[in-house]
Amino acid sequence: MKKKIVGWLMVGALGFSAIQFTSCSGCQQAKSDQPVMDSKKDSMDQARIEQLKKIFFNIPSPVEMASLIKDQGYAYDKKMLNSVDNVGKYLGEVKQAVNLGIYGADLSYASIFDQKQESMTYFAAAKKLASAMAIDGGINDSTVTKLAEYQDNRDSILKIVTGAYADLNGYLKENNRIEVSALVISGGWLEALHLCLQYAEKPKSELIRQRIGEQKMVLESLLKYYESFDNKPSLAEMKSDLMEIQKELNKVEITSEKTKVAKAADGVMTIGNNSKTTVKDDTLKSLSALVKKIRSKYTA
Amino acid sequence: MVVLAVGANAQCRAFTKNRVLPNLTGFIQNENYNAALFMEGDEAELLMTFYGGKDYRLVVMAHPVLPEVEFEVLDTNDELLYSNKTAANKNTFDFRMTSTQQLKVRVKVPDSKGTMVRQGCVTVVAGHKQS
Repeated sequence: MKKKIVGWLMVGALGFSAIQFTSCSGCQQAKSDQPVMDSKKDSMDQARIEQLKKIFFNIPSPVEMASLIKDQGYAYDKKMLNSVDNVGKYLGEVKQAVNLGIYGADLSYASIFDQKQESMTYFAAAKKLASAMAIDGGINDSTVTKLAEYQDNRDSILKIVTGAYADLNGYLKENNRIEVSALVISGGWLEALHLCLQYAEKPKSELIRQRIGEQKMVLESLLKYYESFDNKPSLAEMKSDLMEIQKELNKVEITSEKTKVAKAADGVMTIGNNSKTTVKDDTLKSLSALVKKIRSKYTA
Repeated sequence: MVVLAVGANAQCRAFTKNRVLPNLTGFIQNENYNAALFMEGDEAELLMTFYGGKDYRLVVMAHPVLPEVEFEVLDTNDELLYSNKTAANKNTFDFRMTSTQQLKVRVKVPDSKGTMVRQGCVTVVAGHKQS
């Protein structure tokens, strides 16, 4: 029996769907008369798997790093951020994309600390960059309006900011600019690491140091993601920089046990492997110097 | 056979916004975007890092044109920690990390063994609870 592909179309905001049939008549499968299941296996060919690898990728949000800083009782420090005055300096897609990510992390940091005016200023800088890069998703005038409307509600602001960046990444992926999305994500990760490193030498920074060490795992995911791009020239510089950082993070010692699953008193499932992360002082120092050097290269 | 390429798609962005994100209420969405057109039998896997001491929600949804999506959470030794097959809520998984670790999220659209290969969006989103 001939196979047919069934797709669908989203129609309007209600998500009403209609089925779109594409007949297989005259196609290769019909000619070769292959069994039905074989044709399905064929569909998951290597090209499709590689394409999925480029789309399905996840690292923790810079918001989580910023909120740890606030939770530890530290103060907001504007001097640590990349100045919005630099925004006009960034020419070329690589620098623009990386700084779009950097401004995103700074925006998260400002939002976590409830810095309303700063949040608006950083969003405006991000919008300017997105516009220069002809990115039409997420970071636009309607988001600015929403931010102004909810400026007194920190959680709403965070939702709007993270939602805007997720939509921006979606826009880039659906418009075949996945490499740009990878650079934006990398910039955000780099800036979140930079911010944590600024607090790591302050008193009572054990949890911050631990979170920095845990970036060894996050960077492993990020670099695996880069591998799916087959040495794209636009990603070469950032990949090389991330590999330099990995050399330092590889000095971090992480021990763990067998993963245990249990149920907490409130009914939520708990997962953990009792991992312990140790970051030595000299590793922290060299990592800090390296991240500072790499970040400066992109923000200059 | 005409096979449409897997890709992020404008339809998936709308599907994610309208159908998936409302399931993340109370959680802060991660900035990553994971949505693509899947065909029956397609699988994808994400390696994700979750921080200790945080509550998370995973939402995995397929457009209704596809069979109900299956998803599993495994550790890096491939030990199964969660499967939505036996869960009451097939699309969301709430959990608390007691320590930081990498987990794999494996997503599969079952093969209905029908006469047509159906295609639709599958989205994976993660959110954390803000303290």
